[in-house]
Amino acid sequence: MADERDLEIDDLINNLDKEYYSAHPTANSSYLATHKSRDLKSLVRLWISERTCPDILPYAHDLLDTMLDRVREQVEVIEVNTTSGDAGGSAKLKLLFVETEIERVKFLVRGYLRARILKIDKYYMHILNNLDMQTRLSQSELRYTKRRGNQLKRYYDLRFLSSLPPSLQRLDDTAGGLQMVDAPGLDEVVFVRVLQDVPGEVDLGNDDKIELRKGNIYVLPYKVIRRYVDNGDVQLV
Amino acid sequence: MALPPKQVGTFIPSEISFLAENSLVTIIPRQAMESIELIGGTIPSMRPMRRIEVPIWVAVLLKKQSRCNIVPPDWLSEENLKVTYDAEAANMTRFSANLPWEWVEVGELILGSAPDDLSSPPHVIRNLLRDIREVRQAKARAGLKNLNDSYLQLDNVGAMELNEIRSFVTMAMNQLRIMQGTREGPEQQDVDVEPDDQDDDDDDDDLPRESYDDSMRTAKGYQDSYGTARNSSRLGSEFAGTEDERASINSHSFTKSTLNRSRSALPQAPSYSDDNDDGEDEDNDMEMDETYLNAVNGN
Repeated sequence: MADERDLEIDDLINNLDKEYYSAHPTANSSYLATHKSRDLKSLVRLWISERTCPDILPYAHDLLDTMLDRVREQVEVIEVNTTSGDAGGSAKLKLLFVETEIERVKFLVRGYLRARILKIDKYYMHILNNLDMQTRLSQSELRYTKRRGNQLKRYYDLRFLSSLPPSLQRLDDTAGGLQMVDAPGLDEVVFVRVLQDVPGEVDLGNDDKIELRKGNIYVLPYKVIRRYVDNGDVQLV
Repeated sequence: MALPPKQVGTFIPSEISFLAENSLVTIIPRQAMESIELIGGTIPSMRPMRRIEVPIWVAVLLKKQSRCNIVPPDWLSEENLKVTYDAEAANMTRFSANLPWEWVEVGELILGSAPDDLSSPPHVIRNLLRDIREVRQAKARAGLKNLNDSYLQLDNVGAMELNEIRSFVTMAMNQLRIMQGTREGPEQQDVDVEPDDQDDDDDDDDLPRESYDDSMRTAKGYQDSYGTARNSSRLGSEFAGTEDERASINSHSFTKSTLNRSRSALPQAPSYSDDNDDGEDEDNDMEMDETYLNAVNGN
């Protein structure tokens, strides 16, 4: 008797579940399984990579545009929901999540751009002399770099360069085997984590060879690991 | 506005923690709530007692409002932490693989926000986490002795732990590379090495190189020391070379004169500053440990 009743209850619950999930097809989809979360993950990776990579990485136009569009959409959601006067407890809570997440995304975007500006400021002269570098910048970054270059040049001229002999006035002198222009140090070491096994060994130059196996964490010069970072076998951490 | 200096080339602990907040955790909602569309995904609709996975930052917010209980991950149970601690203590040359990448941060987040959801008293868990952390920090520091100019392997290190040694390791390795003269291009800079050290080992047989004058001989001394160290550079395999070789690393590789001449010396590495003989190694290690710990703890 008791068993029968238990069975009935179980059936009822199961049926309820079925009804519920057919009415809400997304209800059971985990947070992970969406393309949205993939985009957010890419943004996080982008931020980490830009912060840890000695070189300037190509600007991620599409991803940034998508994310900023979504931020705007979410801001609209907030505006609509706060003006509609429907401010019950659960609506407020919902807005709290939306707002918190907007701030989190904006933090990532800001961090990404600031990390880039840091490197752009440092290597502006190299960028201005190098077309490949210029293609990695966004329009506004390139504009900024050019203006900064011009302004600094004018300023130095005005303050002291004009009073030096003409042979010493250059800002990109290479005399004496010394470069005045700073370029990103591709030889600097980076921390990487291997995402998937790479067949064969990686030659590090000086007689060292290492294997890249999933889960390995290495500290290596960026230049030897660069192509594996680019094709996604390893990630900067 | 570019990045503030303290965030250049590394992350600050709060940033590492921010990243960990994106990882998922299982919660048991106490109330029903509609699903919420977010930029990075959808928080599924909640029904009381039905477990769902959400990012930790969502879980922490819900927990703050007593709207859910957090289910601590398996590795965070007292039992598993004890196993992990034993595994860590049993092998002082390797990090165990029992902990996830973000274990420090996730542990702190859950202890901080949901101490009542843990299966054991919070202070027990906290102490175990601290013990594990200390054991692992000791390994990380011991492993720093193996630093060389080529590579370093740190399997199973955590995100926070990695970030703590990041500045030091990066600076030291870049510096060693300069000393090795392997830097190419415009940044190349000759490093003058004082020919003041005569006790470099003359074990050159395996290094086919042309003859050097006196000052280069010392430079070759580096090569030998690091060549040896390099062979055992897997963090946690045997530590570099013999006592003699270690002494020679300590005594000439980080002399002040060398550092001052080369670019971007190691300003935050006090232990490696002056000449020191064997007897002082211990003291210096201690000093280094303290500074390291302070840096780590953000003091």
